[in-house]
Amino acid sequence: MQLSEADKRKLDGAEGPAVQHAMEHLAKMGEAFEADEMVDLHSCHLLSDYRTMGDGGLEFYEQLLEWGGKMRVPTTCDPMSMDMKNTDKFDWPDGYPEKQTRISDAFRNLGVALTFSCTPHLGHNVPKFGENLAWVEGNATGYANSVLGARGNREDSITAPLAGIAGRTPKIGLLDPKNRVGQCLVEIDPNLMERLGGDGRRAADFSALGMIIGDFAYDRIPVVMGLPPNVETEELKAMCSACSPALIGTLMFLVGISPEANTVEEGFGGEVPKDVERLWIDAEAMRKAYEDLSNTSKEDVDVVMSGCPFKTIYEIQEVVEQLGDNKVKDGVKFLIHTDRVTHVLAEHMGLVEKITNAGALLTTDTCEYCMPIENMYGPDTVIAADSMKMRRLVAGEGKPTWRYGTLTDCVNAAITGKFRPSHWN
Amino acid sequence: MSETITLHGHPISKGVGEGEALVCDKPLSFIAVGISNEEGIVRIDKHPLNGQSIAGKVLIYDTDIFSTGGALSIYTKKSVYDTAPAAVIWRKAHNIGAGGTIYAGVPSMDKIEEGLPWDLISTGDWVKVDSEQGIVEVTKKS
Repeated sequence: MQLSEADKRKLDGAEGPAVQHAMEHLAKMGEAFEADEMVDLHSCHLLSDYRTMGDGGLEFYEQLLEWGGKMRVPTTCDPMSMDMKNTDKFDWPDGYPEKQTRISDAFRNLGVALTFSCTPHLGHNVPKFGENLAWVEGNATGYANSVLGARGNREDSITAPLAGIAGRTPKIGLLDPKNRVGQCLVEIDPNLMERLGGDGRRAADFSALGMIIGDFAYDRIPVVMGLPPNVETEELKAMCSACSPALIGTLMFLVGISPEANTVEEGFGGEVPKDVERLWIDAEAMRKAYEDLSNTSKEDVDVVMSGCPFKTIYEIQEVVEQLGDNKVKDGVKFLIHTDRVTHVLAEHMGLVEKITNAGALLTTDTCEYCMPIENMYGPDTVIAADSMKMRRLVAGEGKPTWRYGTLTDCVNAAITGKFRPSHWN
Repeated sequence: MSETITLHGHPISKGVGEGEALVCDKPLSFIAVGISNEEGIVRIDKHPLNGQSIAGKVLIYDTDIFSTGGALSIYTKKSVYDTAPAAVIWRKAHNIGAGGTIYAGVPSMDKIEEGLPWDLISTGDWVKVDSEQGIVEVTKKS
């Protein structure tokens, strides 16, 4: 890997121990992935949750700070392990509040914007076309690559802050334009497309669609045909949540939407290879996706969750409309996830009051993935959700079981305590 | 005497580590919700390694899935709980596993020249990964 003179100075310690430490790691990453050079970094997004990082992660951030580390580019952060606005609503393990607060303190001093949101691309870290990102959040990086044309790998939680401190990162994977070429082809049945999304269905439909595409493409870049140009931001957000629990990478060329794929040919860098592997997605594929995402057939639910990725303000309006004048059934928890900034807006608009009066909770800055879920729900807990990503991340021995359905199905389950799927049957 | 084979691959995190192989051909994640940091036991929906401990093993899987938090989870497993694997071999390295193993000092490699790693190495084989040299020595379980 060819280092610039400025890179070499950083590596030699001319800009302090934090930058030197960061450059040493970045040089090893560049060597491992055979990068030719490092490039300037434009934006960073860090891992925040104590549950995932543990004491090693906490000490890692505090050490960077002690060495004089400072983020050189706009930097936001992912959700945390607690809802600091609703601490009394959950049972946190001993030590969690202190540890999570230490992470926030380290971030503040490193110069990180304390957004604690998994949707920086829709809030306080909106990248431009061609910019280089070191973002840990897959759904956000997926959107940034696929919809905005920015360049980011699913950056790991160690390399991301180190790249932010150095202001440089090795040109590997999707940071290198020559690797941004389609490798397989997905066609969405126009009859299916007509039935996808809309009020009460957008999150579940489009995150299931993303999963079908991601499971097929896996570690390849899919070129996706058949999305209308007026597909909504919230639908694309849901679809890009496939980047982590299904798609290994963070780029889907969405023909007519992705700035690098105005045509299918452009998505493949010139022409569609003759032997390209193809996937056709129709209503039967959607029906099966919904069916597969439920890993229990139990009808009685204990918890209903929505908001992975976090709800936008418009999706919070959608929840309120779906709830109407109904109340959440006694004994059922209905959790809707968003970040604190969006929560403030929702409060200002009177939406928090309506949600609270209905007996539901609009949480801030956390979700089932980030929270210590074993402390909260046993394996007998049944959760209804309209998020494919959450469903896939939080499942397995000792964990709750899931019903998958639309927001309408989830709201009905919260009101009646019974999950009765209405869609794609 | 047990059969020993030598394989060649591409170094990701440099070092030498050895242990009993724990092998699957599926993607895996080090995140705490899937493999707890404290115990190092796999608990992921329908995963072939469910219930197995990764601590001290030479772990072989396809590539990293799920959260990028996996990197810091590897570091915490190694530096706090001693539940990290002794070494890792992938079909193809992902940033997550690469960044985590490099920073934590867990030797790792990918792209084994002789074939897919799960076709060459079985759970229970004794495996020495020398990623300084790009060599893997496998002593087959007798």
